[in-house]
Amino acid sequence: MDDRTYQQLLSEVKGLEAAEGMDMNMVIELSDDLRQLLTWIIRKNAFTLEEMADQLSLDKDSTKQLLNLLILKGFVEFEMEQQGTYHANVITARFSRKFRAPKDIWKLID
Amino acid sequence: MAKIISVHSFRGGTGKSNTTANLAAIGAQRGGRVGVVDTDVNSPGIHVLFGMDETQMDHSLNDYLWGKCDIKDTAHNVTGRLGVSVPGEIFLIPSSIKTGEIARILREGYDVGLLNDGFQDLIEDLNLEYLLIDTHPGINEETLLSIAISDMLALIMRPDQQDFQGTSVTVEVARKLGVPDMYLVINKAPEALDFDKLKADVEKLYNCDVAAILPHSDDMMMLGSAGIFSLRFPDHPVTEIYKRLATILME
Repeated sequence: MDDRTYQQLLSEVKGLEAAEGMDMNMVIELSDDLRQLLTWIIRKNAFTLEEMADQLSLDKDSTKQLLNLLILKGFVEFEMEQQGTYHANVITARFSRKFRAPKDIWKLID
Repeated sequence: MAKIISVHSFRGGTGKSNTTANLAAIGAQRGGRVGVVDTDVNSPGIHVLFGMDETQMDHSLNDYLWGKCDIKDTAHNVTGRLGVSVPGEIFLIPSSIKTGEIARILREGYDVGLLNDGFQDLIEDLNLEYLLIDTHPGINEETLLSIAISDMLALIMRPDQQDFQGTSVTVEVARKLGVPDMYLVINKAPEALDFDKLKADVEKLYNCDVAAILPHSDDMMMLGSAGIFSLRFPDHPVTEIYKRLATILME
């Protein structure tokens, strides 16, 4: 990715309102580059920083800057998964939540 | 790696559920492990084609979306309901047909992200080769998500002016979301039409391949979703078209 496109991406993400996850109705209205990135995130559902850097053809630091913005805006969240002795830093897509009842509530109602 | 195929149309009544059920049946006849998810929570129906009613649904997609169970608990193995022996298997994830539950999900909504997680879990838990998503018609957040995560989009349309206009919207949306593969399926086409000309005109209009033209069939109308057409009429010309469609979409 060239620097100009990268800066435009950063600028566009900065300009978005923070939310509790992605709204598909919003995704469809974004620029081609940002929409492609978010669609990739949705398809992958869970990915690493390295995978994102590879997808964008960016160095890790630049990718991290963009990723931090996406986390701030609420579109992705950062998790640490333990697989044996290996800790994988996984980023997962977030969607705007309409409703979610905690599982425990059903034990009380049923 | 499993293939996620969304079967979608801009308008209702185009034949999405029938097409999805027939694709699933043919896939299973060819030895595949096929999942079918009815994401049309507003107006669920594909379960009827598999001979199910609400009394036979232990859990539905609604239960999963409300956090009551895991998605694998909603998968019903309907292979035995087909009425014929097939080497593959079909798992149906139905949406609830209970009035109160439909009303509730419309009123309260649900976590769209759970759908995304659920599709991946189904593929893994059931070792699926294909996951067919029978979508709600039109553009909404759920159909946008289904389109976004699909490897293949089959857009069903009728040769009708309302469908022509609406399909152009969906094609544009699908292209924006970068669906890797997309085909048009023209359904309920009057026999009086020149099918070669229709195919050429539609392909030119949308710059998208037409995978199949299914003619209007009185036999299909008479069956009325009481079963899966390609299994009830294995030698019918329409079944041959479904088989060719399955070859394009699923192989």
